[in-house]
Amino acid sequence: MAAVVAATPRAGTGSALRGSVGYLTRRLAVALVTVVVAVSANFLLFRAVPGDAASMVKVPGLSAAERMQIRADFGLDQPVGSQYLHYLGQLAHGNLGISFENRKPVTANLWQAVANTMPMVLLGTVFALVAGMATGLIAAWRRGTVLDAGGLGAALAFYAMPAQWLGLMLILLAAGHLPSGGISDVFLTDADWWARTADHLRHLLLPALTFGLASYGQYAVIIRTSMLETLGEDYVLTARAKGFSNWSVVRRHALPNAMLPITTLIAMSLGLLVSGAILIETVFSWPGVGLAVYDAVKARDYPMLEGAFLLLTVSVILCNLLADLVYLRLDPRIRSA
Amino acid sequence: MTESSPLLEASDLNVWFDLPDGGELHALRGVDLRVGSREKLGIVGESGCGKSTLLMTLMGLLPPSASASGSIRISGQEVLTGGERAFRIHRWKDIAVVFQGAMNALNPVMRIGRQITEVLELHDVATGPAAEARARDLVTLVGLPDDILRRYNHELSGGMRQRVSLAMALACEPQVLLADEPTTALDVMVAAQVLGVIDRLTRELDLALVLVTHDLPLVTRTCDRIQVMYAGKVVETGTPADVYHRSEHPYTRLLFAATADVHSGREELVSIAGSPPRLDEPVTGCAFLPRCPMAREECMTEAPQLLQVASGHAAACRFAGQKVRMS
Amino acid sequence: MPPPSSLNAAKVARRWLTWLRQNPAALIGGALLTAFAVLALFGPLLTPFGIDQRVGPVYGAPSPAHPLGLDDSGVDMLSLLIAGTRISMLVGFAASMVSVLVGGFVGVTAGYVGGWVDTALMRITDYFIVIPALPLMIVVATVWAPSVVHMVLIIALLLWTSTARLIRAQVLALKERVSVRRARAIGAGHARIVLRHIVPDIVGLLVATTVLAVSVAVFFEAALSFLGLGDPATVSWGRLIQIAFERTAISSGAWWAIIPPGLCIALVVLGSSLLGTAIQHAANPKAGIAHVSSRTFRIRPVPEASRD
Repeated sequence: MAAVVAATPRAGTGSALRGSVGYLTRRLAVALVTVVVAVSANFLLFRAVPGDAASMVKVPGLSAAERMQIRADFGLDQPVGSQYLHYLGQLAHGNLGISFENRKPVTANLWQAVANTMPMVLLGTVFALVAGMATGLIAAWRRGTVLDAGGLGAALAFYAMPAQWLGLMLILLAAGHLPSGGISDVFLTDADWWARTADHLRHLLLPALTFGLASYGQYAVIIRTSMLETLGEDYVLTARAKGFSNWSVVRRHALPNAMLPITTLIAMSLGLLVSGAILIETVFSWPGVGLAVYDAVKARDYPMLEGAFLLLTVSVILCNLLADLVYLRLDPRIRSA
Repeated sequence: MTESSPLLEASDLNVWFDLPDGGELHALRGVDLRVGSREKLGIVGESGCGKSTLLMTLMGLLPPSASASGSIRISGQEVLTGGERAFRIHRWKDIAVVFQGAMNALNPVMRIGRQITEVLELHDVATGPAAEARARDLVTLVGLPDDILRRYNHELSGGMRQRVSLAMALACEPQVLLADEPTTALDVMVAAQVLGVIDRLTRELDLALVLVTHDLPLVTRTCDRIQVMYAGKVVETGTPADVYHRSEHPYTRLLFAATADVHSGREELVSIAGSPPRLDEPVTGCAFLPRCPMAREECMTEAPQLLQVASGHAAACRFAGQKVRMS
Repeated sequence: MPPPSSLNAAKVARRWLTWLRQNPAALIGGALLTAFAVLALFGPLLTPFGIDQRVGPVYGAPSPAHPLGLDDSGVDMLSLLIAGTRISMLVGFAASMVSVLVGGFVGVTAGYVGGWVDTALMRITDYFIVIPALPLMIVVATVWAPSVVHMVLIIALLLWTSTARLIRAQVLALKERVSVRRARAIGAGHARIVLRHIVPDIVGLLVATTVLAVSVAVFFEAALSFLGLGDPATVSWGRLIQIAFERTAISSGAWWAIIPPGLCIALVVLGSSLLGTAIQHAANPKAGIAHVSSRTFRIRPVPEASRD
């Protein structure tokens, strides 16, 4: 009696998978092209330096002959075209050149720097995410109350403070209780692993906290807005009509939707983590990528600067790609696009 | 056809909405409603008359900016005074709703099947494989294939979404189904299909139905009783024959006349001049006065009550039941 | 939000004032920005001491004569701070205006012309968005001799992209409006269409973006100055923080050399964020109710005159 009416859904069974693969391929292609552009632009940027890189090296007492030798060593006397090809070839081998400053491979320097930066920015991001989400969600739920205005106000206030200043303030506040710089206590040479780890953590705390405070504001604002929008959607009303409690409605229906924009934001901001750390690492003398950039700038160490810049740009591109992948997983609407 | 113990009953329902500039919108002004077992009640009126608000209020789905007074009894139990908590006890189990077709009523990131089974689990109807089996039965009931359960909202057409909403609404076997303009956003063919399903199911499952629509021919065909609303009040109530052929309220008459009728032989379209009153200001006298062809001076001072014209037929006009000539 | 086409100037002014009153965030933001703008314009005329004038010991503590103490050269901090206001505000506003002009132009062109022009412009924009901002600014600043003008340009170099995308999206929507299609149908020239139909409707967005860009520009000025890439001849808030850092103000306990400049930056950034966001909401109102909320609807007692 109940005739099954011919109902053709808009997308067939196989097309969700096809859609996903298509989406992935497109994003991958875009990422690859951007990397190529980034690499080439990086090359051009540093060759467009007025004056010669070798002449800018701030090592005192170089004779003219030695400068000529440096130029030849670094291949700076070749025509631009062949320099470009040489550059690409070197990149393919993972060779980013030799630092002017300490004569060690840029790759090795950066590797060490990245290893130092990562724990600090990761811990800082965890702070920022936890604080940001808590603030944003509470503000959205209690919209219009003191919790909303206060939470949002505090988030904006911290976000408005320059990171370097915030770092200095925290140093002032914690003076005597927490170390104000460096990655570890240099005098703690033969202590046991436990003491050394504790020492590392004590040094890690202030920079990570600064990073977290300086960046949690944006997460708070975005998730508040996203949640407020989601709470006004019709399917939330449906969930309420079904008889779910407020908390169930939020947990089952509102949160998964509200979190979509923030997931991509997190993935993308991972790429910008390192840049944000420049100021903080300088304040705390933290030997990471940020401080490496700062030192390279001061010494006009172009290979280091070029290598670091390339690293930062490529990491942003990769993290954006990661964000696309995460979004693909979370939002079924993309798969059929 | 009124049962002695109605499934759903509202008395003297008033609803206000806070306005951003500090004022209030008086959206429902003393509305009564009664639905008995297996009854089909149609609620009609132009946009803004409060029919959707009425439906929402019956389930307590009002926003924090709203305040309400009056009485709502579901299966004899008073719920309005109990607030959100009291309503929640009855939601979906005793009374369920299908929203307007244009609404985004399904969660875009949750599979259809899950959205049905979650209600079954919430109200302890079934869990696990039993719930899935029941979900399959429900979608078959509304004429959809099984595999729709694995799909997402954006893969469905408008008609399919409405049928899914219907299947979802019937999951816990409620006694009253509220339908808020279920076919408005759908094209004619699909609308007819969905209406067919609603009609068939309300008969098969012995459901009471409250159908809000502005489609007058539909409501006269489908419903046992019709309530006509204007400016937050009920202005006429009765059977389709009463309301259509023997209407006693000038608004009802004009409303039905304004419906283009291919077979009537009339050459020009009739429309009702003017527009409904603003509900953020108090209304003295009859709200329909400015547009009423029968208006007299007495209409300005006193708002008319619902007057019984015949058994089961009432109209809120002081001239109801009298033979008054329209000017 | 009063539409730009309102005729009566007094009426427009009154609607703006009502909007301000109903919008405390905008009011606070506007007040902060105005205060600092006034300080920037007239402050240096009122500074009690010169910024090269040694009036006391290294890192002298605050006193009634010198409420913000002295820096490590014995110069009055308050005077330094006021002098720095001018440069910081100048860079902030100039960079923001340049970036919005460039971004607006790119956005309108891409959105209105469409086709390959749009694609090309958007590819370029996408590339700039991907580059991490501060590192790029650092690289360019390293290469270019440091000066105020260069700083403005460097900051604007990276800020224009978000404006471009925003404006382009708006223009794309506006292009389909009936009034625009009608104007095109009667053969109106493109410049005329853009100026008369499109620009007036994006003014609100442009103003909001400009105000918001001030916060970003001031932030980057402080960052670049801190890293030693600012104009060494000028005093700005960022430079004051840099000087305090490099000349060990912390270990000297001279909090007055550190706190005030950063506080000023924070206030300007906060002010422009508040005002800019408020304008943005006014231009693009997204009113909405929450279907689920911590508060629920209220029950009222039956009204006295229930049958009105």
